[in-house]
Amino acid sequence: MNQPMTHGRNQTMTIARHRLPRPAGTARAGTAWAGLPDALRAEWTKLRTEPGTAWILTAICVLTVAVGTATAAATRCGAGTGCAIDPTKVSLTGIEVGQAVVAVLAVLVISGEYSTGMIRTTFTAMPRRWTVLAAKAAVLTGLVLAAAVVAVGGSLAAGRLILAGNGISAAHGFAVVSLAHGPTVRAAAGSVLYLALVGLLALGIATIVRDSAAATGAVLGILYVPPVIALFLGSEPAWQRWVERYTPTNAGLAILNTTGLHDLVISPWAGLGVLAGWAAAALLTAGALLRLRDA
Amino acid sequence: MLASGWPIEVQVILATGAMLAVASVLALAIGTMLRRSVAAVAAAVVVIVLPYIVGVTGILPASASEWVLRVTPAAGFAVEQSAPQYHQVVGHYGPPDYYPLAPWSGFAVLCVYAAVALGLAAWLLRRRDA
Repeated sequence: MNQPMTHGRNQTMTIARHRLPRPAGTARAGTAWAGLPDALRAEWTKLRTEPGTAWILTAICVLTVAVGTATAAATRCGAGTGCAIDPTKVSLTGIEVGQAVVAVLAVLVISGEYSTGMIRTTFTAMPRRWTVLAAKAAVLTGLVLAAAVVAVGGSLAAGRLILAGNGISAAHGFAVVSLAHGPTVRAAAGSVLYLALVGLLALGIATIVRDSAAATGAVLGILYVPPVIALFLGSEPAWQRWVERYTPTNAGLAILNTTGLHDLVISPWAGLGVLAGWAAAALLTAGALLRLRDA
Repeated sequence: MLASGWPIEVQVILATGAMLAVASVLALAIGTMLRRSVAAVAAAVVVIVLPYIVGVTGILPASASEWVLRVTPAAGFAVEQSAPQYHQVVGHYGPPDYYPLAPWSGFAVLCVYAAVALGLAAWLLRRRDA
């Protein structure tokens, strides 16, 4: 008589325990990415409700398209001068500016929490630090990809209209900016990925540096200083070639080229791979440091 | 251009120092206007360094690069120009060795930006709450 009752009670307790709501990121030890959906939802809520996010995403689109449009408008080719213009690359010049705004968004995703002290709440609620970093990276990548599609699409559309008006058209032997043109599609898709990778590189560096102003300076330094160094290494061709092949912006922006591909120091996809390597190195270092350091 | 008889190196050294000082004043003004560190650092880099990179690295066609180095704060980098330009010698007189503006004209463009930004920053600082 006693035995079935005990059995029954145990079973009830077991069921009840299973039905208890599980605190985010704590339960189910042993599973590598337990709590990732909760972390994603938390990071999405934080970034979505941050007042600056919408402005920054708008700025990515507007600045990229505006600079691309202005460049296209300033690009002319006198008759018979045989100038080497890559219409797609000219249209996408705005990426040079847009990447700075992407970097700002990425820095704010993590440094914003360090400057307000929110990071301690975050890690108290979600102690798995790799999970938090992965969630931040995923949410950031999603937003940057969305903004980049608009920015790149707008730039190419503006370039197509304006460059044709400036005499840079198929009638004069130029490849028209068109999605029926294989290299242009590759440049378009590649530059969207380029912006996402710049965001991930910036997130990694900002997680390592933590202070927002220092992180912004460091990221923009890594993006903008190597091209200038390469410029002044003209007397040292071996070093110059190395800098052009293995620094994030020089290598990554090879993806914009649609003409003269044989003269590039690094092929478009290999260049994007170099940038991906930088982003991966930064994120792995950031994750390891997050685990080692106090918040 | 400093004074006849002075070596050009002295002019470049002094002018580079002055250019960096004025650029820092411009960055201070941007920081005062924007009040957020991330936005201020990024804006200062985008306004001062980026036009220089776009202008000198040949990303843009020559006409567009010249325009960028004339009308943006990066015009101040013209003080780096040390080699004279000879009218009788046909050559590529473009950046980074040659700038579209004369050294002190480029410096003046940067000064105008710094002065306007500082004025705007002072006005905003008086008008806004801290």
